[in-house]
Amino acid sequence: MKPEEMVKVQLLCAKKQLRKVIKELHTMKILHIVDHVKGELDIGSPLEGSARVSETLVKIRGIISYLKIDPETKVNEKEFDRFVNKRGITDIESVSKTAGRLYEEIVSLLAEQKEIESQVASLSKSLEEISILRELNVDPSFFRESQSLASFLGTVNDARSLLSELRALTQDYEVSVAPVEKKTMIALFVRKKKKQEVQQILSRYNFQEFRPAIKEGDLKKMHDEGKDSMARLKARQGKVMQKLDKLTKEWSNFLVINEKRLSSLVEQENAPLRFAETKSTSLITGWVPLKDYDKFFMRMNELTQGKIVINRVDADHDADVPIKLNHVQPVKSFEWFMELYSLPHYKEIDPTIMMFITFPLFFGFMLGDVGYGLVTLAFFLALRKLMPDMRFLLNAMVLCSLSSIAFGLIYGEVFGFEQIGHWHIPHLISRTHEVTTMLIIAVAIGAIHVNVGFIIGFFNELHHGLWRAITEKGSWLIIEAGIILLVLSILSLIPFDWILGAAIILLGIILLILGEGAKGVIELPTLASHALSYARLMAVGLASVVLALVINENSMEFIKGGGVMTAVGILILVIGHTVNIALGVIGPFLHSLRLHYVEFFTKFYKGGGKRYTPFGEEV
Amino acid sequence: MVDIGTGLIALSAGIAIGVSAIAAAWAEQQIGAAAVGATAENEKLFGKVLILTVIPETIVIFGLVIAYLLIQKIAI
Repeated sequence: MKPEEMVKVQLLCAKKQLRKVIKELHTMKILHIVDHVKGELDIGSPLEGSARVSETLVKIRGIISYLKIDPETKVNEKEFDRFVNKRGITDIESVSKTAGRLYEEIVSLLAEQKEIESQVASLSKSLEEISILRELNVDPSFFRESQSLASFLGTVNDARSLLSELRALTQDYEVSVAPVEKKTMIALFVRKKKKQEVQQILSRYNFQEFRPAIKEGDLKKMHDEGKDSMARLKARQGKVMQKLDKLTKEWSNFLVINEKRLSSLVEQENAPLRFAETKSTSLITGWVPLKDYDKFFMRMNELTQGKIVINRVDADHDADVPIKLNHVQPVKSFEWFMELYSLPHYKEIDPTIMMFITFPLFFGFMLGDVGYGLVTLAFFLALRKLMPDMRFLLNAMVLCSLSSIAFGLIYGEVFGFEQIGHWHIPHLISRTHEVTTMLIIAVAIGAIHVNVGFIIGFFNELHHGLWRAITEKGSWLIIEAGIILLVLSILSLIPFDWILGAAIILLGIILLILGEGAKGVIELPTLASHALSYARLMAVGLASVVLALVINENSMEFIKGGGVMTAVGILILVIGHTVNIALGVIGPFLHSLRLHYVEFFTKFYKGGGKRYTPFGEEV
Repeated sequence: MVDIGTGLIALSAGIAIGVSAIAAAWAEQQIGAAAVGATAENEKLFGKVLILTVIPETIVIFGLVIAYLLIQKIAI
């Protein structure tokens, strides 16, 4: 019920031993290092050679990104070993050299590729110009500055109207027209004295000037030459791509594996930055789980032949103790919910096990349908295969599905049907007919759940003293007891005067004010509102089952129709239930989570614990 | 035909749940928008903002309970 017990340790060793010690700590994955803050003692400096490792890692990461290799690709360790043994790149020295060479090669290939691309772009631009000029059947030299002629080359949006307007102005012109994309390219030659008038006409037709870079030359010849160069460039481009592809295939295994290895090596080399140091010694501070402490102690002494000082520090346990939750499967799956909210504080009761019990219960209470439960069970089992990363959440959802099936049996519901043909599915309680009973059960569950919260809160506060536990948490229970007494005596169900109940309530309120101040009084109404909030257990479930009923009734009408109608009916049935199942998973999931986070946790939970991340563990 | 009193009860039940649903929705959209913004800045806040977002939901549950109690009066 509590996070794993931790001990604070200090390791003092000679700097000569440091590399060995760090390597072992990294492999053991036990010590949660506390970063040293510069004070009397200085911060350590990285191990010798760390610059080289970092530099190589940067190069390898650079290559991985240039070659667009996915760093998470599956690697083949055996092939890797063969590969590096054959080439003799097993030590950091040779890896560094190889990575450097590979980096140079790839950078030069990429530069070549870029240069070819820019050449291709400029060549295709001039080829386009050539083809436009050929299409218009004009020579580039026509557009040179001339004494008597004005020339225009560009696109207009309506060549036909333009020409008729032009004819009205002058007969003395030469024109050539060719379609270009959605516009019309026009080459127009007029007498220089008409230039301004023609310009005015052109501007009305949205004339956009086109200035070819080519000023003279034989278009046909240029076109043929251009095509030849283009073919040569493309061939070169293909070769470069081939080379890059070949490099990717050949080296990706090597790169990905070395990226991982060097990352871990860099972490080790830079670890002294987290330690304190004197001239010749290093001081490492951290937390170790109590159950691993002996093993840790022995291993460290063995490694250094006793030339290490390991100090167990009596730490104030309210300090930042890293939190390691230690549950066995399937409770472990519910740690995910704790991490989503906030990890418990070291001295707090860890509510994971309670979530493990109540979360699926609430979920099943809401979804409660044998059919839906089976569908979601199959869905989450399949998803667990496909997405192993999400297995914690999915394990929890599998439990929730099982709980839905169990509640489905209690309610006697299969896909919203309460009877199949003339056979009534047996049930303990019918959700659709006994709404009031369901409401009462839901609120009763709420009252119990909230009170369990208060009781846990009481025990959490005990380590701050009995008085604080009584005033902060016990007071709520006293008020509740008072309310029950008051109501029962007013209803004359018990032979007490109502004054007794009222007095107990007053006592509770006074204790509450002593414990939590005015804030406590303001929160008094939550006694009712939080318990009532559990009415959602009934409401969400009822909404889901009513929707299922509507789907069933509507589709049955169609199915009885025969022919196409039957097909439509089946379609409604399938789509309707799919949507309802999706809603039926999201709704109960969020509502169940909310009941825990808002109504339950607020009674006792503080949270704010820092996660235990031992040195060497992949994050 | 039901009598006018029954109709008024049904109407009141409808108003109770309808208005509380609108209120909850309005409150939740304000919080939800801010919550998404906060999560975009810091993913770790998801658990916390989820709670903030769902707090107004209780309003509609109260509406539902009142509506249900009103409808019970018709049944009698």
